[in-house]
Amino acid sequence: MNKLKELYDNLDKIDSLPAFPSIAFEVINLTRSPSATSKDIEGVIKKDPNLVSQILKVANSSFYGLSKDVSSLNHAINLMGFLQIENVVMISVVLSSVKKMPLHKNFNRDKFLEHSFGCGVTAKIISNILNLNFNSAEFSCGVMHDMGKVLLDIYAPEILDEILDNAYKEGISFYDSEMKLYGINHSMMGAKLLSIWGLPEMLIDIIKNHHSPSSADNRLLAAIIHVSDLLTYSEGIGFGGNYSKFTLEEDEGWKIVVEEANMSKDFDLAFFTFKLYEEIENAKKIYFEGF
Amino acid sequence: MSVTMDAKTFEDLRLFIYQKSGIFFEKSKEYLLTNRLKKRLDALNMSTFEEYLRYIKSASGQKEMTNLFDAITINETYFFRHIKQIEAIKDAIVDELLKNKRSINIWSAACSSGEEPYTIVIALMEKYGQNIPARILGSDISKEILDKAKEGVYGEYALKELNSNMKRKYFDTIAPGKYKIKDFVKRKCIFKNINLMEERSLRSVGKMDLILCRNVLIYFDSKSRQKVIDTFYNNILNPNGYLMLGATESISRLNTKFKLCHFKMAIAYQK
Repeated sequence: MNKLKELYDNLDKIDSLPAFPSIAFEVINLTRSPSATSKDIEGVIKKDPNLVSQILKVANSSFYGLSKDVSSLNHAINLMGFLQIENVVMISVVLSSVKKMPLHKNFNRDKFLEHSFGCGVTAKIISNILNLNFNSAEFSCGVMHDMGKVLLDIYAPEILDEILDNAYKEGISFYDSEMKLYGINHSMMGAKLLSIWGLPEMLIDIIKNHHSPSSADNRLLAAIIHVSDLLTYSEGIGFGGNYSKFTLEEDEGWKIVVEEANMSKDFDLAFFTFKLYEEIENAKKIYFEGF
Repeated sequence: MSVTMDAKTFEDLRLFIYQKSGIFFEKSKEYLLTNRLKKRLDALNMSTFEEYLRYIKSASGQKEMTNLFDAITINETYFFRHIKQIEAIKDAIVDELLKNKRSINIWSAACSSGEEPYTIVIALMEKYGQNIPARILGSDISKEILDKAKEGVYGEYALKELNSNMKRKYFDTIAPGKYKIKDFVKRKCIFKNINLMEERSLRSVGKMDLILCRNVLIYFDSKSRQKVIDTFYNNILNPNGYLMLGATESISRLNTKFKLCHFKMAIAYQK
């Protein structure tokens, strides 16, 4: 049995597996409960000062277009809405898991975070530009999409190196490289972690299929994350291990987006790209400060 | 009285510019557009940008287009301008093109005083040494400016992106603040006087693997633009060859078989 397959099969038996913080879990349960009030959520979040400051920072950023000065947690929750709060919680989960990553020669932690966040932001921007409404789920999916790589870095660093080296040598993507070498990929690995954590099926479906959007239950959202992943690379944000160039028109994910989002045949891809680059420049100032 | 442009006028104006020229004018350069167009407002005796927008959208405003395009294309050239495009060429495009042949042809289709073709040579020499696997053609419509390119003498400003090591490596200092491109770089470039609007002139170009054509097509009317793009595609580019435009310039709205490719922070059109 190959080593990666072994890790994948035994993931749930690892004692030191990054945990899903209990506060985050409580918050997500509340944001998805129809009877929860903002007071309930506030009560949970208050227990974690880092989370409070993170939420206030995001609430006061121009990204959410809230012009007022938001100083109280309750105010922030009411203004941002439950789903945005969930997004910030997801970010904090990714951050705390990544803290477990060893400092590694090829796989740079900061670059990884930038890529993850960049993908979330890009997915949000694309959804805005194309007038799609995923109730903010696109952001959490984007942020979480590469969690499988974190596991590789923690538990199989030499294999991660091998995959990266091979991707570089062959000029292929990280995904193609790991599939070629081990037949197991970071999407499967990440999906398994999320399911051990007991996260919603909808999220697991997207993480599992972000490189194979046609197989997802929610094809459109998986396709948006797939495309955002590619575009995040082309925006020069962070480093997700992908070395290859891409042609959007020929991409599996983009074809799904065109089909399912009912885009017109003469959609101007270049204009869309320029607009995206511009929005990303703005978002960078908000999200990537201080990492 | 200072004239300002409100957000809606800016959006309307840049959409109009994009539809007319294919140039996406970035928000971060709004102040530049405002400053430059203020001069046009003065010249035309207008007091608001709204008035100017109405004018250029009208039939009589057609003659203003050249002035508008001059204002949006910041016509300064220096070595290693648009570094992301140079990196995409050096790190990805050239590698890909060289998979099937030993040497490639690159054409800088409006090379002005030569900074762009020489930059390509220098970038490739940094990667391959003096024996680069490429021949570079630089062309321009103006004979005078081509003479300057052939002479290859530049001031401090043109070399501002180069460190002293790079300056020494590729230039001879002929006077304080005057630099002459070294012969081994020059030898890799051929310069030709070519008018992109003339069929015969275009035919003399031969076959190319990469065409750089920055902020030139914007000055053509849509019919001529289409014709040039078709000639690039049908007669000049080799299969799988690339066309690179200005960093925020596009031909997506034209009728073309070119495919848009994304590189790291740069796009290109592939045949």
